[in-house]
Amino acid sequence: MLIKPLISILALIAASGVIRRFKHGAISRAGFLFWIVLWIAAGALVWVPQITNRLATFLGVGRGADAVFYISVILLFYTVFRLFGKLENLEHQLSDLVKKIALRDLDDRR
Amino acid sequence: MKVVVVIPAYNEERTVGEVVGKCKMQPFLSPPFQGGDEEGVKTIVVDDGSTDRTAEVARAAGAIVLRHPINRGLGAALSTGIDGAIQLITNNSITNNSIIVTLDADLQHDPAEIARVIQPILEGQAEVVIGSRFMTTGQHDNRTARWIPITRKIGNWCGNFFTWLLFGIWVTDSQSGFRAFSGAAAEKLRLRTSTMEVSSEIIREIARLKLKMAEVPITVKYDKYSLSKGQGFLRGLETLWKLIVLKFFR
Repeated sequence: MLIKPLISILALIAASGVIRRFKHGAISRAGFLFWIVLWIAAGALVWVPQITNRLATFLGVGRGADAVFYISVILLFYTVFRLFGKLENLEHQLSDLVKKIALRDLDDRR
Repeated sequence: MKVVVVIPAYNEERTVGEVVGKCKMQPFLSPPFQGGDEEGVKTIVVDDGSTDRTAEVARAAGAIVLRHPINRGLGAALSTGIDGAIQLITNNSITNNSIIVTLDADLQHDPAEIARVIQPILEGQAEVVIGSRFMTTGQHDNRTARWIPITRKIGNWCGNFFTWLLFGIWVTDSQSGFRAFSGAAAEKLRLRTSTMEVSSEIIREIARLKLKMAEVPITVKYDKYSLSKGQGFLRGLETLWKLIVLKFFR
């Protein structure tokens, strides 16, 4: 059963990273709570997998592992699309800035 | 009456001078155009962060050069060029009856056809004209269309299909770089995309703003050089993905 300690260590490393970033002010209080809860949950689920079965019964999915899998995929999709949207907005803002700089050439001609 | 030609250019030192020169030579002196070159036609080259001498060559040929400090792509360059053209028109207080033309810097379009492309706007039949490489009419047998490589034809047809599917307008050449806008129509455009998907975004804007659109057949000159500048298969896929994002996530 190597998987249990391995995931626990990874969760610990991730959680300590979250704490460090929060101390440096890199993430907000809400972000800090979200990530800490997420990693604690990950650690807990490895040692007490029965929790996922309850979750699965509640959602009507069947197996606990499936429930975790489905929820992870949904979260990942959501994150990717949010990132994509943010990236596109950044691209647009950058182009807008470049446009403003370029249009100065026109003002200089007057 | 004033025509402003907008030419987006990225590393086009080989061809941009000739394109600007040909634009300047157009006989826009006859009515309804008045005055000489200075009055009738202006060319704006948007140098999209080129690493070669594009800006110098364009300036030497007589164009107004707007320079992007970094490369941002076709969409950003067109947006800068069109805004610059509008500013130029407003500065010279000729808001009525101005026309903004866009064409490519790689010599695939013939500036001699500008007069024909802007005709529907002059006649009040359209606010936007798309120059189509694939359209054939009774008067104009589009012979050059035969020389377009088959892969490009298929790619363009896919571009037309997805533009229609996403934005609801069928055009025979949605990816064409040769266009004309009435000044008033150009002012209403809100272009947000930075790269190749801008061609379809313009079609989307035509649909959103319910602009009167016409298509005019144009000739096109493809060679190794201009082909290397267009969209290959992978760029096409990337453009499609960005169009889907544009449609559903923005």
